[in-house]
Amino acid sequence: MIRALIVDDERLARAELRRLLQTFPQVEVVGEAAHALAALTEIRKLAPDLLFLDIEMPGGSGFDLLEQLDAVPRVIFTTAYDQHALRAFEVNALDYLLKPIDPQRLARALDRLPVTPTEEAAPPDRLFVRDGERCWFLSLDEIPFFESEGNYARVCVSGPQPLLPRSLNHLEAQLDPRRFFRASRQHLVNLDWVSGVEPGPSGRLVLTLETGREIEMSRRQSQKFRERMSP
Amino acid sequence: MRSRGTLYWVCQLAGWGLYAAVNFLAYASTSRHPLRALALVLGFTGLGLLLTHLLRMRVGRRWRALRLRSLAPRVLVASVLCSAVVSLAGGLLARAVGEPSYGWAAQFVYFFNWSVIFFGWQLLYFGVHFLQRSRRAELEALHLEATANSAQLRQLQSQLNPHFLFNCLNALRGLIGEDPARAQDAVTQLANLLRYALADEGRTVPLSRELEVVQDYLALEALRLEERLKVRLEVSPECLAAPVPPMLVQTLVENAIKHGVARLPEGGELALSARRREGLLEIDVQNPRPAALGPSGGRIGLGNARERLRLLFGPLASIELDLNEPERATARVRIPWA
Repeated sequence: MIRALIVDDERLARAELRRLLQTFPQVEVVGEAAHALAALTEIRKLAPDLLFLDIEMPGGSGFDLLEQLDAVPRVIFTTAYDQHALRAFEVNALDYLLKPIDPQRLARALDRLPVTPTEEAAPPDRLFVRDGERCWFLSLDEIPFFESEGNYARVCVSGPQPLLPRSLNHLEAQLDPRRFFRASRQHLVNLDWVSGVEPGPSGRLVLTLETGREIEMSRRQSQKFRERMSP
Repeated sequence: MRSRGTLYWVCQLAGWGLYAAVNFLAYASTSRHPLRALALVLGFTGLGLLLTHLLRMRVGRRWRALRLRSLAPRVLVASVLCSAVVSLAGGLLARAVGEPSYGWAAQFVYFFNWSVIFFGWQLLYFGVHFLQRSRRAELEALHLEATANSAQLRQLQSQLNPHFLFNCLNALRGLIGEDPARAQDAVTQLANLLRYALADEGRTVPLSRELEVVQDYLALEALRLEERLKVRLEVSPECLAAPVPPMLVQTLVENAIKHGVARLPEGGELALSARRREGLLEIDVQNPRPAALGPSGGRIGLGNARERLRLLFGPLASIELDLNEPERATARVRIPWA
């Protein structure tokens, strides 16, 4: 069973989508939200597998909403005519449905989803990021580390390095601590990317990542790291 | 063409006729041989007529197209050449009829006079053509401008926002199951709106006609926005007949919803008012807006409307967007209204 949340500012649009979804027994609509803020609350409360997401909404677009999420569910965008917004997505070939929604296209979009989330391995945690006009999903696997930039966190991947609209502290609290380690005030490192650890100056450790990048840990975090690594 | 040829001959014969008459009178009063004078005058006049006509036949059409800088030297040379021909032929003629007063000095004066006459003739001929051509060019420019304006107007006019259109169709699809009677009304309203937006309604329509369509448009927006959209109309009855460009008020109302009411989760009130003031029709569309303006700032739709007003009514018409109040926006249109 796919647990879906419908996010659209128009009641009739939500009702119509709900009605269309009645013919798909594998989908259960667990809730609705009329704007981005309400959707954020519902997503945290209901943890849906799938979002039907309108792009243009009052008080923040669908993209603004996704950017706030630390683990983004599957998303099918629903839009009336946002060619501009959709162009940003061409590279990723994301799923979107044009309103009024064609039931056959809806069926195809649902077919592309994993049949049930439990049947496969849990979908990889992913983030939604934006860089200028472009936006895309990033799996946490792909991210060697995050770097703090004031109240923002820079996603340090190869290629464009987008900013997330939240602090490194927030990310550290939300992400799996077995995987992401706070190396210093500046850096949150994905341990899967660490290829070597060397002792550095004054008792600090220096992490070498598979990208070749070296990250110096703070003294306190070096200590913590040693404790964690000791058998 | 025929009328222009006729005009040429009328001018030509009248001009040379006048020349002949004046000269004959002058000669006849001083000469004791009126017949001789008549022969001389007719001979000279005939020569002048012949030469100027030859000028028109041989070079007139080609020279008409020249710029002044190239034309002037040609005209001077032609004047001198024609004058030389007349002076020579005139000398022979004078001798033939036995006119004694035709010495070398007189010959030179005649040569000079004839140069002036031929120069004057060409001045008149090319001057008339120049005037005719510049008037024609002016007319063509005016016509071009008018064509461009109407094409531009058409292009600026029919612009229902596709985002609205498809959202509206989507809402309709939902409504069909929920409230068929209302869905039927909505289809009619949408048809009215589309017909108005797509058809050529002329350059202006009475405000009452525009408001009918705006009401349909608002009813459709209300389908989508439901209780979030409230509308207040304050149109003084005398304004209903005022001429406005079609889709102008609709554009303002659509902007007010797109950048104002629809952006607010709780919606708000759209106020539309129209009144007459100092020979102008004044239309206000007021809406609540998010405190922070989006990147477009709500100005894009108005650029087109502004251009349309300028093309239709000239500089007296105006559109302003007043954003002085922190949470309201007012679009104000002024249209000259005699």
